[in-house]
Amino acid sequence: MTNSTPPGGMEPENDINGGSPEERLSPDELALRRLMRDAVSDIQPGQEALDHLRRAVPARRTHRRQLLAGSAAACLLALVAVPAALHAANISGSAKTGTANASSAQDTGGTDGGPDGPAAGAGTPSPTGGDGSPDENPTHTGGSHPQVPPGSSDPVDPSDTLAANAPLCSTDDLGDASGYAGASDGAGRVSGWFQVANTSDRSCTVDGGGTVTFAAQGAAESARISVVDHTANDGTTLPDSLGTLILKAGQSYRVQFTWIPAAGGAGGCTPPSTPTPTATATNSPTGEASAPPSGENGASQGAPAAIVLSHTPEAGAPVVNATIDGACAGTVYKTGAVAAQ
Amino acid sequence: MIAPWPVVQAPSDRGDTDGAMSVGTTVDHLTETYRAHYRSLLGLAALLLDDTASCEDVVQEAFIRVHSARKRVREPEKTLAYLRQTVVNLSRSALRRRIMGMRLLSKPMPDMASAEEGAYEALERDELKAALRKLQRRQREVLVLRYFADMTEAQVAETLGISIGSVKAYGSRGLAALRVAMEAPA
Repeated sequence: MTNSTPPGGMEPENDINGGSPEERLSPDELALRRLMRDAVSDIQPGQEALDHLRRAVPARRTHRRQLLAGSAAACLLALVAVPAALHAANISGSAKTGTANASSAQDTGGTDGGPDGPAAGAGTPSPTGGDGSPDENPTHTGGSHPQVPPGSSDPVDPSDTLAANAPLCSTDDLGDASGYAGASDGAGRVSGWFQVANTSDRSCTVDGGGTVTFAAQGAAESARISVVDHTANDGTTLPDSLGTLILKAGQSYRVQFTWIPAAGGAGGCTPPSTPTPTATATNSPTGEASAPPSGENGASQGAPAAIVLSHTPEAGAPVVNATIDGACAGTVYKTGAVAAQ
Repeated sequence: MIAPWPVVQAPSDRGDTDGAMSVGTTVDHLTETYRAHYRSLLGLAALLLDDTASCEDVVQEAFIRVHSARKRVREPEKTLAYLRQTVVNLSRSALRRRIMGMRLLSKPMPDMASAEEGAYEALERDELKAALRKLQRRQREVLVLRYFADMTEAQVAETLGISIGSVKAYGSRGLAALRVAMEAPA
């Protein structure tokens, strides 16, 4: 019953020597009072009592703090895990709701292509990077809890993350951005990455991986393309991001992605889609989903199908693109910021 | 000097020093509290406990608990109240067993009660102590807090978490029982 409210005003009025109650006590009570004092009058503290306390109190405090930190981390984890899961669900759902579509900018330079592409694409997926990442942060602050960022066994150096005092990377800090999309594998998957360097001379913190948006080109159907955060067991071999990353001067982070074309080749790719020689892209007829559905949407059927992915760091710049050729419909799984090797 | 423990302060003066005492986490506070109250708390524990050998453990544990809780240490004027309450609570057997268990985990106090053994032995032979042992736990607690710690009935009620009426009842019955116990041959 060691509770928080102390018995009111039990001040040390009269410890052993006190005398004030004499007036209000009966002779019997006074006698008892004296007897009690006499009984324990010879008791003295152990010789090392104070020294022992001086050691034990700080030790107990430390212990309490550890317990506190542990429970706080557990709470954070709970707070974080649920929204993160919900969020992921939302994203994959909402991204598919985009309607407007189709052809847009032809050149890879533009972040966003025509008015339509970005509207559908950029609108929904963007929160992904933004929200997804802060969610993950507390996770590893409290120690590496594998649960949230699935299997957080990652490139991020824990010592760096713990010392999260570096300021957030600003647009001035970042530069030297590049994007890459590799060749498709047997299943039509294309993996790639965006890389952004800290070009300043100070350390700065990347909090999450910014955003990845897409613009559909040619026969690609933006309505059937979504960008989602990579999660454990999503079928990709992407690494897990720990959320926050501290970049020392000159270091880079990557946002990795894997494109998985729509199952069964039901994508809107029309046969004519051919690889374009764009940028760093591959020449593989990747998401060239076979299947019947013709590109009803494909505004500019003539243009080769491709998806231009754009990564925008949370700071807002620099924007960097990577193009997946021959892709019409499917899902882009992306990581948060991971340390570039 | 930080946080002088208001040992002799009259109740009316206490509010004024709160600011000065707000930094209570220092070793000074521990030392001050120790000097002012440790011995009387040992006495409190000795009167409450059946097992006087664990008096020092109980008081040590009470000190450690109260002083390691930051929010409690921020209210130095209440430290004694917390300490007494904790001693009372720890004196109950169930809790005491847990402390003894904890002792095994932490480093036990070195050679405690070597020089002090005599006093505890004497207490064991003390007539009053023997009589107190025969009382119900509540009666004993009320009497000890009331007359040894000089608490008012209201303060005893708050410490024990019982009503003032119960304090009065335990007190009068306890006194009567004690009188009988002391008159009867041990």
